[in-house]
Amino acid sequence: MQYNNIVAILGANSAAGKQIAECISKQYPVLIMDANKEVLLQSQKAIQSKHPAANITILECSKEASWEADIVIIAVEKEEEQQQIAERINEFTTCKIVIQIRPENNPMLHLQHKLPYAKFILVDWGNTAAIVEGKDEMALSVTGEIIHLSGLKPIFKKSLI
Amino acid sequence: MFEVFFLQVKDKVLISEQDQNLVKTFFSPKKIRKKQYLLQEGDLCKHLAFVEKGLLRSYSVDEKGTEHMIHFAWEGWWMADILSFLSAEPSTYFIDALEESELLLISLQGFEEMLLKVPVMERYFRILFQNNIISKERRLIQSLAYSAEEKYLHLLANNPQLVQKIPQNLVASYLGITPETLSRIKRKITR
Repeated sequence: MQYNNIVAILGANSAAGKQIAECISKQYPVLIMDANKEVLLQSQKAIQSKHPAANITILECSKEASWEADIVIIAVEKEEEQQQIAERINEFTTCKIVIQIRPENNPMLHLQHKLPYAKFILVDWGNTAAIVEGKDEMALSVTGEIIHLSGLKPIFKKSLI
Repeated sequence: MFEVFFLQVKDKVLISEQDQNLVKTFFSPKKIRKKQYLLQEGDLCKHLAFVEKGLLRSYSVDEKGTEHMIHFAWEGWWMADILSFLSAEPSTYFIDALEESELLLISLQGFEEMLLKVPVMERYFRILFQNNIISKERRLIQSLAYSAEEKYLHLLANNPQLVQKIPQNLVASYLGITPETLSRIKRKITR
């Protein structure tokens, strides 16, 4: 038997958040969190009807989700919200993989400085590919797998973060 | 989040505020739900876990499906399959939560780095490992030489918390006796 890392998706109602939740929930236990619980419930039902074995749980708090998770994905689309979430989850993400999803053509700031003890990865999310940037080898490998499962091609870029 | 942890550390060594802040950067806070696994047989044990709150158990399962309790850990205790953690061999244990638990996890790489950067933690772990060896020796002697009643009385005298906190069928498994034998011993002692 193998322990599967638990993935929290903060901003699971965003386009990237939905796509990731649906695509990885066969493989990973997933915690989804967003402001609109109704939409989350619809997503949860839709995923479980497609993949009855999917282990997908709704949480209402980003701190709780980050505390339970081994991997945290910040997928909210607004920069201000991303910054707020990073501040809130900082103490729960020490040594954990944190993946910031930056929507296509969005120059928002990366969150590494707000999460100094996390294994931070920045992902520029596109239609067919995602550019992945970060320093930790294991975190890069896990992120590559998540992106691949989500149907995109991961392109690894030399880290400038 | 580190309250119980630093109480335990300070009970054994003197540690500065600065070192405490550095130590915190090596631990990953993790909350797990009741019955959730932290480790499953065949996996590598990648972390040492410190229990800030809750209750964990480690156990093995034989070919007949019978569980054999190895260790329990509640607030202030450590839990891991130390053999798998240090040797990178697949574990023969399961570790799960008997209650919702709040843990602090440290990887082998983080552990070694922390011991280098905070030497006082090396002393803390030396004391911890010494105590662990003594406790394992005692348990080995008990399992070889003690009667079921003597094992229970020894546990009651030396670790009354375990008897109070843990369901009786698991205490029996920990002592290597059947739940019926444990009930009989308890009835006899009460009389």
